[in-house]
Amino acid sequence: MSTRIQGLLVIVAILAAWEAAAWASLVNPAFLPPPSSILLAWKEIVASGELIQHVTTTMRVWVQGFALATLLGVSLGLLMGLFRPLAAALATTVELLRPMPSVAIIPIAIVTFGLEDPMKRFVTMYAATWPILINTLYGVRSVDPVLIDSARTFRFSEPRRALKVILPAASPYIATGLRLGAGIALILVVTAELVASRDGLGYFVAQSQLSYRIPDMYAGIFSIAVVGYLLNLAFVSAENRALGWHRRLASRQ
Amino acid sequence: MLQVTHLQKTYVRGERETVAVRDLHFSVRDDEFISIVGPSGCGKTTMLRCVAGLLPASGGQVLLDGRLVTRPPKEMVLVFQDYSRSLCAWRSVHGNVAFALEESHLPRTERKQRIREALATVGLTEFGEYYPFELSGGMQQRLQIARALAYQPKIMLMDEPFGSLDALTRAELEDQLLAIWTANPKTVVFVTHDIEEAVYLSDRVLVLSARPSEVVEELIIDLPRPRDQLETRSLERFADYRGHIYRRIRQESRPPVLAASA
Amino acid sequence: MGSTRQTVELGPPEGAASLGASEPRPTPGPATRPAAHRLLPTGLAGPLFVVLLLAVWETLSQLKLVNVLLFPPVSTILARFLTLWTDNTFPSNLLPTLTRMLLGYALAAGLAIPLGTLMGFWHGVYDRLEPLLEFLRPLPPVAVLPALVLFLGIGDEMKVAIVLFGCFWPILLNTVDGVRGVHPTIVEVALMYQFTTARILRSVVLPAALPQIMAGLRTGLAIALIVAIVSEMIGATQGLGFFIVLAQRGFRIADMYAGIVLLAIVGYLLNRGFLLIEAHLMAWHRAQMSPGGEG
Repeated sequence: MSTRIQGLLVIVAILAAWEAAAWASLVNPAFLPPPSSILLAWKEIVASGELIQHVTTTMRVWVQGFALATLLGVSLGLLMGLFRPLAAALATTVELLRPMPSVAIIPIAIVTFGLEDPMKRFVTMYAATWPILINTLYGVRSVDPVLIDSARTFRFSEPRRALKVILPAASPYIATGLRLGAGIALILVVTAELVASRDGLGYFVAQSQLSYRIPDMYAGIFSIAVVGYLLNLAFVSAENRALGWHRRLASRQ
Repeated sequence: MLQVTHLQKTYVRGERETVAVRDLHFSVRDDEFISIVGPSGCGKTTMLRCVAGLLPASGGQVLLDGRLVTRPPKEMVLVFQDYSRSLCAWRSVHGNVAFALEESHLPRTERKQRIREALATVGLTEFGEYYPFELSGGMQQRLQIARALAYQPKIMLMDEPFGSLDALTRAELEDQLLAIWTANPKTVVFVTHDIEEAVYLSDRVLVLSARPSEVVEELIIDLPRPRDQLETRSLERFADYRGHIYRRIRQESRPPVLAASA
Repeated sequence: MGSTRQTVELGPPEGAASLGASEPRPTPGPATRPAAHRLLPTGLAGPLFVVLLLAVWETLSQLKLVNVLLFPPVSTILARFLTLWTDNTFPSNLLPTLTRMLLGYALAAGLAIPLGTLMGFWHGVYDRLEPLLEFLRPLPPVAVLPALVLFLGIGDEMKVAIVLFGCFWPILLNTVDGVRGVHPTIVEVALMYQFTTARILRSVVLPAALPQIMAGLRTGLAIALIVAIVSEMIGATQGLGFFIVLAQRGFRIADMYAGIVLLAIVGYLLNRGFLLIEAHLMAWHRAQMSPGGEG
């Protein structure tokens, strides 16, 4: 039996123990209902279309925010990596803003944009931009200086060629930045929905808890976990597919 | 006395079995310096790890003074070829030597004394506060030897210790090792693929066959000590030993069919 | 499924985790390690640009070219900041936030480092838990908040618990990976020198895995602050997150900005402090990584 299957059995065992504990009232089933009733609740919100609606909202904001962050992070990272004066000008700003916990931006976004999508989009973009920017910048810096110099010499004549050299060379770093950014974007979407919103998975979880539909709440948390898991899986496999060359190179050294 | 009796090691990976060591049989007298040479990939390292008690043998036994070796014995150390990976990067030179004595329960003064002596022996006294990455490859290997010396083992196993050093450093360390061994005799089992090195250092040389390995030849090296890089190596008998072992190894590393036709 | 192992080669496993993670040290371990110079240049241009930005904000706000209610002048925000600090509002809100955060963080580290060391050292355990961890790892910690509130209410216990939960994962997974990455040779050396298993873990495995454990701790610290703030936004009676949300809801916008400025300062100082400790602990590692480190 492979360890992978044994690992899945571990999960099954935990679920079974949880189920048993709930039935034996070892835990308060009002707070921690058995997996079976969570599954039931989950089927219900799937059937009623409620879950799909919240998932769609969450994913819409995630996609928009993440796309903006990618655009901003990669282009700013490239520019800062290629043009030292720009990096010098923005250095302090980056150093001051980056360690600030990104959720602090939520209140600002609320007063500026209200409680709807634009607020959530902004917050998501803001937080996801940092890892993408930093990793892109790092990626450009890691490119052989000779490569950058030669790219710089023809930057006016053919900027596209510069991109063709620099961008692929930095792509392993950018890919990492994107994967990290994707996860952070999800955190921020959920947090914004949880703290101040009227729809989305985070809102659904918070609302279920407030109205004491506890199995629904766990079904919501479970759904967020699934979304996070699938997103991560998608990024990892895309990264592996696109950057297989790099991994082979890295593992050879 | 170290006895290796009919040692055998087989790796099983899935369905496939690889015999790394078929039948090794030899013994080493106390304070003897023996070298083991063989074609590359002949299972020398596997054999050494079995002798060191790091790897369980699939058959046969390793006996140290009549006791069966099942785990690393107290009176034995192993000096690895890969010096950078066998040193603690996070410890200074001094700290790396102290590493050997961590489980020794020696009084503090004795410990310090041993560390100081070991560092002096290999000429690293001035580098006590340095970190391994600040040392050259040769110095790192000297540090590994110092660590082994501080432990004061009865038996020192050495797995191609000078294999990744340049020729000059290598000669220097060979002489240093001989000087240490002469001043403070201990059993040394020295694994190498360098025939000249084996002849230059040893009392006796064992020649292994290609994988799966067996001892195909045992040669007593009757060269005067102390040995000297120039004098010893220019002796006629040195050349004889070298030529003999070289031919033997070439025979062994050839595929059997070709060897038969030759 | 090979995909998770492969992730590790391209970057650390904590995935979502390195929010605001510090230091221009990269997450990936790609083929070529760039010279470890500063990622961002130093010099006067950076600070000057910040001053310029603030001056533009001040001017726009003073001239009422932007909505003054939403963007009060920088000078007003600064004045509020000083007032709130001197009238003890800030210190009295900062203290509980930091206490809960550091407590949860310390508990997480205290649990995750030993556990991760054991799990990484005895591969079998980790391999069997991997599917479970793979599923839990990408779960945003804040999603668990409502469930925790159910069990623990909205008091300190809940806030410490959510911080613990949030930074447990990056510390654990980095520790596991660091320990698994320890080269077997050094463990064999320790075995030859008669080390007991406990001493091998303490004197060999832990220090060898330290760089990666520190990376996990650094990520964990950033997450701890985030999660602590969110937990206060959800329900609290004091704390910096609570203060900021309260100011926002009461439309005391200058106070809100002042609170966010304080939060930024706290984040900056925590990060700086961590880097100092890290540099102190790992002088050998840093020197090894920098160009010219080969003696």
